[in-house]
Amino acid sequence: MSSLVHKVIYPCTTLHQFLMDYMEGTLNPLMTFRFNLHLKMCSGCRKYLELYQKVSHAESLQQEFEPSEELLDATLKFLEKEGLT
Amino acid sequence: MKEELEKKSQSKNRFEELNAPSFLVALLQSGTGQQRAFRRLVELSHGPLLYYVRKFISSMEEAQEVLQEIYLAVHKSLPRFEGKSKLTTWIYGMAHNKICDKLSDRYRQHEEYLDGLQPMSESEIVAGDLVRSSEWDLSPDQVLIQNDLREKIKDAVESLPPQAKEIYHLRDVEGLSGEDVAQILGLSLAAVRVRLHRARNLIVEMVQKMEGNDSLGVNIEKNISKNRDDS
Repeated sequence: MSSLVHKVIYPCTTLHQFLMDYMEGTLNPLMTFRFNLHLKMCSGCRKYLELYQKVSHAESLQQEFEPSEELLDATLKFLEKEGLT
Repeated sequence: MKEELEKKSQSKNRFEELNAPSFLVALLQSGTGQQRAFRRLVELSHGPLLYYVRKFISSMEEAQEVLQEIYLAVHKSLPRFEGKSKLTTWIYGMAHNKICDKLSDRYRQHEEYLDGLQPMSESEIVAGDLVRSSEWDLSPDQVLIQNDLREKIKDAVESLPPQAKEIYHLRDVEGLSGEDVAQILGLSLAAVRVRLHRARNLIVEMVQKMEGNDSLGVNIEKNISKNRDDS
């Protein structure tokens, strides 16, 4: 039984290797099943996946896109001098 | 937090306005119409580009200089823009090259620092990724990163090698598509995926260390053994 389980369930290293494919849903159904089986049994990998997903959705790390008016003005003045605007 | 994200999304959408065909027509004409369009390009792209440049050049003064060089290069090269990519992707490519030039000047004595940072070359855009949700996907609320975690991720990102930092920034922070990032960096889509995955893993591992938990890769074998013993 144990050896069968070992054959069916991926080791942690394999799971980490295919995280991106798993998240994007590009694993085939059998791989996805084995992936999910591993996650059900392994709290460490569940936490790893959760953190990986958060790291992969890091739009909130963006600072404010709007630059200061002063900096924008300086750039526009420079480009004006160059005859570009 | 949500309001902040919405505001950023609006700014980003304004940047995307540059990709409208009508804008491109205005930009490629001559005379005052073109000058007006170029001014608009600067107004809409200044924020995102400055932020991108400052990921690599911390001095605001130097970043501003690089930004000016980027706009000069964009203006000079506009007649050669063939529309094979989005205008914003093409502008990021220019920015990438100027950042490489600047870092190259600064770190000429430290070549290893530049390892992997290659100027953009012509590359084909590869067909899109297949994106599907999976069983363990997080809900949008869960994906929102809490402040303390965000700070840890930011610190980890700052510690990444330049190439990993750039790929991660463009793909996961700026939210550009894999194809756009591939084109900006002159890499294949497969190379972008491999390097992005490596960068994400590095960040995850660094954050785990910061949280004092660097052994999250718990051996499944332990669980299996436990289950076997229990039964």
